[in-house]
Amino acid sequence: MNDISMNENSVGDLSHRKSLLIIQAQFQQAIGQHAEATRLFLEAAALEERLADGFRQAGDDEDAAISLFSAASCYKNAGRAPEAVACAEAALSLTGAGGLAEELRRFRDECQKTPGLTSQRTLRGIVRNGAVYPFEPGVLTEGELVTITTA
Amino acid sequence: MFALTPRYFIESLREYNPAVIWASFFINPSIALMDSYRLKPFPCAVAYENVVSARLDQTEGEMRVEFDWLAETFPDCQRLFQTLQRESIVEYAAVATAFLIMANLAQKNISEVTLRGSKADYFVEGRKYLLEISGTESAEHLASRHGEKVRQLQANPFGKDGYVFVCCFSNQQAKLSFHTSNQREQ
Repeated sequence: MNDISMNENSVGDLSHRKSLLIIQAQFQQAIGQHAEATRLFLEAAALEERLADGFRQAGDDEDAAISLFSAASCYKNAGRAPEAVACAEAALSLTGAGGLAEELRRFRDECQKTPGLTSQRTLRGIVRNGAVYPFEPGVLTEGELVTITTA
Repeated sequence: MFALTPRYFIESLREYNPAVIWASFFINPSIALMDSYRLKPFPCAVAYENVVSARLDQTEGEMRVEFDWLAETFPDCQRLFQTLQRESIVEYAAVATAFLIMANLAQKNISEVTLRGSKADYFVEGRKYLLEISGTESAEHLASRHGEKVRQLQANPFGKDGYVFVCCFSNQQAKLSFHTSNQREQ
């Protein structure tokens, strides 16, 4: 059940809190405090999703899509690809065929391709002595660059 | 007769709009950067273009302003450079000056920040307009950076009109302009 009442005060309050979290998260990222940045990005994403729900219920699909794109971006910055993709898909379902849809598709595809961001992990290694170091043995050509995808 | 140069205190970001709690975040970086130039108050010539505001007689021109701060707000401010890269401090300082110039010259409030990928989008007057902000310390890059930001603003995927604000701290010049989007949905 959505607990946002779409009056100006509650939307404004959520929006300001979320803005502060994004700014703080980017700051933590800039000074290399990645764990704290991740925590803040996740908190911001949750607020942005709540805003999107509220906008959607109020019939404002445009603002809902903007918030969902922002939530997706926060999730991506937190290394949470499945949530990022889900938010991008939700935003896409609210947009027409314009530039926003194109950018959302690019963003979603990028999330799905980026190693370490998808639910599958892609590892790279160089073959030495018939094995891919440091990951696992295999019958491969010496010096070959390989990509291993693990579930 | 003489005209006084408007002076904006950086600490006024705390009262900018009490609801916009996140504006205060930019106070310390801007003090650190301006202090590093040993200019207090920090002068700035703001060129504006296509900006309609009751504060301005014309939509195009230049206005000289000063930024000031209280010494006790951020003692040892130069230590910030040990924590944060100068480039980031410049960007944060540009956001602080954008807040002050938008409020006082354009008479518009920056209301929200969202993320689009790794890019921060600043919204003005609710989500009516977008604002592209950039800071530099390279005088020769001011015009090109402004042009680059105008192109970004005009191509924004939301189809929103908006403002571009670029501040060059090394020569104390800034440019604020208003543009329409070329991405409105058909």
